[in-house]
Amino acid sequence: MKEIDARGLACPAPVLQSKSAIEAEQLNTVRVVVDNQAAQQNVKRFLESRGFEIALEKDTDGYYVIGRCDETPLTEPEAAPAAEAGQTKIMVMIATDRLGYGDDELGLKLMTNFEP
Amino acid sequence: MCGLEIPTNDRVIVGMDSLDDAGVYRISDDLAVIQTVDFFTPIVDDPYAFGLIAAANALSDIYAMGGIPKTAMNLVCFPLKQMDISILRQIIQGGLDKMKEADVVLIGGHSVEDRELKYGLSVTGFVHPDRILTKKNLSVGDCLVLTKPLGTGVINTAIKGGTASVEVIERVTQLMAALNRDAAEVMNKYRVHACTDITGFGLLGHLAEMIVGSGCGLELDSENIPILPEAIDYAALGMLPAGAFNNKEFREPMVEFSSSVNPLMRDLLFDPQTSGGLLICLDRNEADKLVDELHQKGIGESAVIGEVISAPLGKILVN
Repeated sequence: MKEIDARGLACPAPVLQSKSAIEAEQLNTVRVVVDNQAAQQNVKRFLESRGFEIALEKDTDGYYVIGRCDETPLTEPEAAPAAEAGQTKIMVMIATDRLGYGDDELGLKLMTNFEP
Repeated sequence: MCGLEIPTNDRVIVGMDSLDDAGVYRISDDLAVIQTVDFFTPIVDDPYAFGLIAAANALSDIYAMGGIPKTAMNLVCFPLKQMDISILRQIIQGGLDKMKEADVVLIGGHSVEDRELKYGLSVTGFVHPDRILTKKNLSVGDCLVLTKPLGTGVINTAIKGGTASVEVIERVTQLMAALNRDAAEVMNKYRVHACTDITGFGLLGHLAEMIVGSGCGLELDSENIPILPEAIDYAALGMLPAGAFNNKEFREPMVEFSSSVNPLMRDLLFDPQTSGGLLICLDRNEADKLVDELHQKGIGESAVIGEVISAPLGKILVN
């Protein structure tokens, strides 16, 4: 079972780390370890939203979230496609016409300069 | 404050023994001064927006006491060696613009060099001693009105995680930067018995403070509680801040949820808010009229969310 060590990370990093791993590797089973109950609860909620059945455990070295999914885990509409064997592809989706915010002029310029 | 002996005197109307939204000190028969202080680390990435939010947040406690803020002082902690001073300038500009909007004048401040950036205000306001609104004095049968939607905690965590859209960031920034002044102006025309503002303890945490030792309980209708649209989705994705769990652990013993309340909604009722709305407790005959007037003033999310009940004592029932 894939183990994800998210100890020492501040919210919402444990969830984001779990999310990346599940999406990139299309995991059906996963064991996430965090160092606090809040993170354990958040990871539980995230995995449940993706169709996982959850068991929670506590050990001397951390709080565990064990997730099992009988079918392919649910994915968000804009999830990156799974990596093909031997290839690593990264998809970046930018949902606006400018990069960053706070300075629209700079943002627009950055977007026109950006070459995918 | 455990174990510390805190001196007081007869002029203190609201002080350390009641721990309300602010301190209140009588100057004369018809004038009392309200003092409050609030500062925190950045909530959003944009420095100017952070200044607006921090100022609105600090001013809110004066409005929650039924008063009017008049003067303020800046509180600044800044990592001078790691961050460009132009960032501080933008933060303070945000604070100044918000103070100007509130007709509050900046009369000083204090800065220290610190590894972690923080900003906020110390605020002074005024109120007639007979018109002070504390968190207590609820009457059985009163209605509870909330003036801003919940969800800023979970959305701010999503922003921190880079998973919130620009539109959501802009909307929640505007919400947090909104002054409670207009709501307070409307509120002060009615027979309000108690008031607080909803911030770090979440709605249930602040409501719990109102009924501890009060001789009453509360009953909420969760379907009437205004919530930001994306908040439930982000809660499902595990974006709840650690504060939500702390709030839940502390006050859950006082709360009874009916089985129809969605588990994610239960989480959101403990979600710590930044610069939240006013929670107004008033005579039930005036509640609908208050909400109508708040809507007319553009405070469109205001709603009656529950009432004060005689039993069970010291409990919050959520339906």
